[in-house]
Amino acid sequence: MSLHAAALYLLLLALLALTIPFLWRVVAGPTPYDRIAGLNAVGTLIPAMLVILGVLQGRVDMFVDAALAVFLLTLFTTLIVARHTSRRFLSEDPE
Amino acid sequence: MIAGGWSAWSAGIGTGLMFVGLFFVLTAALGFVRLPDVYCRLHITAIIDTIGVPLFLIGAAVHVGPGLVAGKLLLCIVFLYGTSPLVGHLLARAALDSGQVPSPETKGISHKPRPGAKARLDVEDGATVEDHTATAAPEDGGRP
Repeated sequence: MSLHAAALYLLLLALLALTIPFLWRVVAGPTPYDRIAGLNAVGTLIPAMLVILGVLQGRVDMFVDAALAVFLLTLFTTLIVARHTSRRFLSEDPE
Repeated sequence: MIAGGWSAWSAGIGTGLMFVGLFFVLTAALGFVRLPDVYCRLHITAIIDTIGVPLFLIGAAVHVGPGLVAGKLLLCIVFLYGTSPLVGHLLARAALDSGQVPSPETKGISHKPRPGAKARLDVEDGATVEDHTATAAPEDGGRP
């Protein structure tokens, strides 16, 4: 394994480990908005891991499309869940 | 592909940019765990979208060299820059509508809840401080 491959594997493992604080906030977050923001952050880190995997395998052209798809999925998940938990859009509180 | 890419220095520079991005993601993770209220935490997650993940994508673009794939990676960055303020604004507005007030450690801003909303400050241990504004810091220089 070359030095660059080792460094990229280290980056991959570090990003994987860095999802743990965000997932902890998803589980323990005091407000629903903390949970949504944590999920959004994890969903933003996953495409970065995909791109690193693509660099490692020399197939960035394939993985970048998957990364773009995950970005879009994260965006729409966050927007829909945030709208559903917002009081502004619930019928009990017309404003 | 990894060593000896399109240029002699491309792999080293790309991996270096990724390590710089890792520093910013690490900062965001630390702040997301340590900061006191929901507004601060939304604030710190924005640096992932702004500088953390884009540096990873730029690093990958430097790895692959100029071409269609690098263009797609830059398109991802443009997409992130467009959507990150959208998500942050929507979440912060939802938190404000639900009556979340900033932590008393936050200085220089109004600690009153939104009109018509009941003030609440959800803290770490599951407790909810309902009447937090009675004990809030005096507002010197805050918003009227």
